[in-house]
Amino acid sequence: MWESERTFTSYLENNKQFFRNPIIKSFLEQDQNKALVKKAIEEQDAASSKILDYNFEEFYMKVRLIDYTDKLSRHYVKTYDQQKRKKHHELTLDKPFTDENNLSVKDSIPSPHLSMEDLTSYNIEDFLPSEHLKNIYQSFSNKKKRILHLFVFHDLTNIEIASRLNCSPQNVSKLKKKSLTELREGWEFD
Amino acid sequence: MNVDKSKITMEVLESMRGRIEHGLRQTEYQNRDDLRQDIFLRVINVADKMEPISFWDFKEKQEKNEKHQKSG
Repeated sequence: MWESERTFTSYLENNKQFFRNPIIKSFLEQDQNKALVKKAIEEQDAASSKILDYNFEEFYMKVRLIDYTDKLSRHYVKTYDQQKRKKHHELTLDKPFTDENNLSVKDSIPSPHLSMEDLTSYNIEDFLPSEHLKNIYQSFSNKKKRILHLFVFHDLTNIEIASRLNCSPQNVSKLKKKSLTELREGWEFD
Repeated sequence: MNVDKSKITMEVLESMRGRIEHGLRQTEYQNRDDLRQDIFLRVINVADKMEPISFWDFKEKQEKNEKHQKSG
């Protein structure tokens, strides 16, 4: 018994980083899952391992869907009215120029608009309501884009972002502030 | 054993109902029903395309990420 406990304990010790992951921590809060991991490791029990996999698949899918729904409820809703108004304008623009050809007003507009389907992706750009704001975002460096992504979609703090990007939290704070200010000014300009 | 995506999706939408309704208040009243349906549809589509990840696969991915971060 002591020997098996030591095995499990040493496994936890050897995989410290993995067991510190918030998703894993949350998953193992359920005693049943913790018991399954223990059994799978100590007894090399294939059946427990299989149930563990299944439970995790369900759990992780729920986590990802909850996260996605939360993002939609927080960000997508803000641009919905604007998208709808834009769509309405597009319909009025469908009116043909003249009776002689089939060209409509919208055909004369060169830039293609963002498809509604694309909004399912986890991309900040997709949540920006105007081409002007998208252009501003596109002009950002990769580092700035990465910082904004981690801030908006992963809710990470400056310190957490800094450790991921191997730079100082002050630098993250400066770049984040600058990017948000540029977007805000672009928004006001719109 | 395959995960029941429909069941999971329904559970998530049910548990997130309050959050969705709260978000809908940010849009004009007449658009709320459409937007609610739009959100539901997006969640269902994403769930349908989502690949299930097992416990051990997740562990392997985390370890790869760690190694990548250390080397990068």
